Amino acid sequence: MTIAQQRAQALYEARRDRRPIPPFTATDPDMSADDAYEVQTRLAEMLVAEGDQIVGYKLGLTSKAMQSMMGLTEPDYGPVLSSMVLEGEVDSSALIQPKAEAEIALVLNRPLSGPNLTPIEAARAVGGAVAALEVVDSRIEDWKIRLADTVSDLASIGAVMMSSRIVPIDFDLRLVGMVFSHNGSVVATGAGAAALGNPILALTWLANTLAGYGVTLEEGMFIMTGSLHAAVEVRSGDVARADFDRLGPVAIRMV
Amino acid sequence: MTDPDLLPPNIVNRLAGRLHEARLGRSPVARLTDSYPNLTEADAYRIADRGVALRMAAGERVVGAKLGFTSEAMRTAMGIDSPNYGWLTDPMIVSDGTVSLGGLIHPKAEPEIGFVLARDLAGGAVSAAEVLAATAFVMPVIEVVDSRFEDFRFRAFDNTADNSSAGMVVLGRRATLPDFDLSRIGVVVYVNGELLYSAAGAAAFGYPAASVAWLVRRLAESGRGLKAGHLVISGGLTGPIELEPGTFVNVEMDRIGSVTMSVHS
Repeated sequence: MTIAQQRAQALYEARRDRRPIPPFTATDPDMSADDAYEVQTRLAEMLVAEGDQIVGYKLGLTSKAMQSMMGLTEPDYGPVLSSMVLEGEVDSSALIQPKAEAEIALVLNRPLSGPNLTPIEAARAVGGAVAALEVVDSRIEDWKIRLADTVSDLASIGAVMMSSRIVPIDFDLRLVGMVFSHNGSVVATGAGAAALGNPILALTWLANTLAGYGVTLEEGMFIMTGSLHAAVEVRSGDVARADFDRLGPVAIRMV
Repeated sequence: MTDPDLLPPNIVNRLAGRLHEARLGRSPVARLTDSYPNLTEADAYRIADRGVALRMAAGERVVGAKLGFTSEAMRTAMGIDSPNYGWLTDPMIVSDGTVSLGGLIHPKAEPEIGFVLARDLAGGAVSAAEVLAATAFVMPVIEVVDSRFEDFRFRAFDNTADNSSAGMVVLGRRATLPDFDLSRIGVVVYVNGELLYSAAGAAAFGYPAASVAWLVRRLAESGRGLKAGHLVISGGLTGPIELEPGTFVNVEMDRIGSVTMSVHS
């Protein structure tokens, strides 16, 4: 077993048993992003071998605030698997330390592969935008993550929830406002620009970066383009709701 | 003025004069609540009113009002349960997008949605819907707040006495009241070309028109109201923007438009 396979196995078991593990970077501070994407790929392969399927991708660390906190200049990404796409309710017993984030998802109506894509080319592959919530979760103890830890851990994905409305984009995604409420109280607001300046730029970065690994984004896939606000801790009984201008609402109940 | 719980008028006048001089001399003063720890909200507004009277005596004109503490997080931090307000006078209004730091102490900026009224608005039961019905147009604005207190540190009623830190208001272009929910309007702030903040209208009291309605109801408690043509700025939508000479701020609001500010020494 390679070290990447061992690490993927450790994360696989942590997910399965809801038992977080220490960060890899605690014992291997030099673990690189490439090392981590190798772990991510192995872990995704294990889940796909069980019958799951990659249906989209998510970006993380798309805000300047998060990037400077982690000492980075780029976002990260991970696959979204079919089993993670939920409707209405999220089983909190399946998660370890969940937080909710509102995001704009983009749906592709044709394949998209880099490198060297321009934002216009990326935009032309988009069929529409969808109001989305992501529940992030970490299989790393106490969220003590550095880049390589979260990348290995499928970019800390927990679950995603999307509105069923796919809205054609004839407006500026940067300026789409979002009001996030937690158990009925407004606790955060944001706009599309929080996602790497523009959700289309987030998509462009992803497609160009995936090209380096020989991966193409397929028709019908969706891309979670990054949180529009600071993540909010959620627990069983909580309701998280995001009201988007132009895209409508999306909500989850933690059970 | 016979209420024994209120400060005597000579003290109110003196404190208003102290804040007035602090502003004119650009020299911040100690918090009023350091000397008057039991300063009440009513006294704070009396001091603020007296300060506005001093400005009017110098030839200034009231052209509108501003809201403060419209974010719940801020109210919690300040230990209060309602927003506050201050008055805007004509020299505070900036129409050409240029702000000089020369007349200010330690200014910061924040984007807001401004409402310009088509008619007088008063009453103790005014709703957000009535605010919208009385609104001639809205505009994106940048408020430059400036505190007359040392180190920009104050308790809630100090801030009220200091006219809610009113400094300047940079006007954007007028926009017709959009036919969608102002609470979801996206707001993006760029400073020197870099994205600094994003937000939505709900950051101001849950709903910007509700913030204006609160002001009207609050003014009704003292038998006052807003006038046709008044500009009401409905509360900061993001964290503070630090200002120094050369800073260029661009605020974009979906469907409403943009407002820019260039800062000079």
